[in-house]
Amino acid sequence: MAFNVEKICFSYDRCQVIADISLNLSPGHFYGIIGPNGSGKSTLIDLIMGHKRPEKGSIHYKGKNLARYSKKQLAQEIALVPQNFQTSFPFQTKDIVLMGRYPYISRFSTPSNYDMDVLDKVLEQTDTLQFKNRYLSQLSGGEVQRVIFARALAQETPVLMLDEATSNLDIKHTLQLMNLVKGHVNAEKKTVFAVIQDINLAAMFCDQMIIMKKGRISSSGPTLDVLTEKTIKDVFSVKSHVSHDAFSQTARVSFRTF
Amino acid sequence: MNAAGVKSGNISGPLFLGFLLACLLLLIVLSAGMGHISISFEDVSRIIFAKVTGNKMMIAETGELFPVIVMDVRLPRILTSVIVGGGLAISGCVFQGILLNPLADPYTLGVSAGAAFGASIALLLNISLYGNVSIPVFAFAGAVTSLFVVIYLSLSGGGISSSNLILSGIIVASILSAGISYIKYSADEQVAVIIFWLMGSFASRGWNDVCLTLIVSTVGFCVFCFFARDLNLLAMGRRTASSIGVDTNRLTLVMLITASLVTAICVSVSGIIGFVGLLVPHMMRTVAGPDNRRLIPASFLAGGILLLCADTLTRAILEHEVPVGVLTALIGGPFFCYIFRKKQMGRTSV
Repeated sequence: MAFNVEKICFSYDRCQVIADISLNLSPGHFYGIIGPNGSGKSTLIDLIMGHKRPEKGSIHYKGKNLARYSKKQLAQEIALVPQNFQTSFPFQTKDIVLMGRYPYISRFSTPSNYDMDVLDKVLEQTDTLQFKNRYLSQLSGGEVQRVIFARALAQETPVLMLDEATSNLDIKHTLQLMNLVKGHVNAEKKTVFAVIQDINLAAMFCDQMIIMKKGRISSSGPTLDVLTEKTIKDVFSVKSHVSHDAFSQTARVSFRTF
Repeated sequence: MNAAGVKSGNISGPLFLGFLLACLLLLIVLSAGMGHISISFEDVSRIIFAKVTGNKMMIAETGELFPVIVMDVRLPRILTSVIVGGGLAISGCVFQGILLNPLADPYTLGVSAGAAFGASIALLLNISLYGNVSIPVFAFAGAVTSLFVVIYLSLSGGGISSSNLILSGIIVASILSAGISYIKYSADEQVAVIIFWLMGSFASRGWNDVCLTLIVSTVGFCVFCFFARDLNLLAMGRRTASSIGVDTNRLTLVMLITASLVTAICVSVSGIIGFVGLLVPHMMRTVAGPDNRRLIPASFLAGGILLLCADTLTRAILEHEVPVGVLTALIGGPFFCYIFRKKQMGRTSV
């Protein structure tokens, strides 16, 4: 078991955003978290990666309480691809991606040959090798997003958190990166915990789904069991139709407004 | 390409730092020879060398006056200006990194306003209880008090946010500057002294000023260099920095307090000297790149060079001594406009 989350609560200024959530995450699964805006998805990520501390309840990672890991230890276990990214300072792509290696490089030493190999590998995997020496401010939103993805991959962690990580990307790069991550899940038994707005994209890649509503988990389990017209109606209040799509070989949800 | 993470600028790091250091040392010796009584470069080097090595034979032929002028009058002032310039520049660098705002400088958080308010009170009440020490002590107390008020105001449940800090800094600074205006208004004959102190000057600084600023700046410099890499990560945002292993709240507090202490000591010794903390990190970022591991040492040296040049200009070249704070703003301001505009035209990022 990678994570044991037990009855955690969290609030911002008395407004409860996570209410009594319990959850078990095991390695080798691609978890998709879906839910309406403001249902607490990003906060849940912050709690599980140790950026925020739960007010009640506990989170254990590999059997040890998350609070007892140092920040550096956690950075070697869990990486994050955030949704928005901006920097006020003129860093180049390679500087940013190498930052993902910092948890492995001691404070005053220079990157090793292995670190440089990892840099080139993740740049190639995210199709950003051609931006290696460019300034981040000269790249488009989607290109920056891929660089940030590369940085998280450079951390080489067993757990990867994606917070709407592909929301700025074109369809080709979305599929490419999701496929890459899916490959890590299957081959290396990594754990991926991904907040995804696009339900069909989630259905395509995630084998487990966690559906959130108002700070609680409304249902969770294997994607095909959880993804039903009734759940979608309950959580999003929209009409939908779930079917099997022969072309993509996955479940497909279509919506209508009348 | 082996050390790409370190050498992100266009030129090699150690070479550039060495060049700056050589410039600084040369300027120190040069400026020590300039003034009412001109002393040759050779004599100055000989006097300094003799003092450092304790070899009195070397200054036998320079006479009695020159060593006194160099060692007791000019050098303390020169070194104070170098250290204050460097201290303000590295604090500026750190404030920009912590507040994620290229507009931040050592004065953004109301530290200078606090120092100025403290010094104004000391001057108004004409407190000379502890001799010359009272003004720096009051300035320092004012700076530290306002810093903690600013941090207290900006603390919220989720830690310290940079926009809260800037906002609180501006609020506290405007209250304090109103206070300073009131003090100036109610100070009859002391008003000239207050105004002169507020404009900043290195006139008649002694070795005790050198020691004080040197100790605090060195401690600050070491702390900043130790956390320089974490500061790079912070540029990616607090959440991301946290996911790469930085304790962001601790980093913010340690860096803010250290940078403010360095600023407070600098201000208490020299008065208000604007623009160095804003200008120097910007200039260095274009030449040395944004990596704080290079940016901080480069800023220290460049800040020292800049303020030493400004102080030498007002001390030895201009006919009447202009307060150095006014001079840095008058020269630094337009120059900053120029490089800022040039950057906009070049479309390389700020």
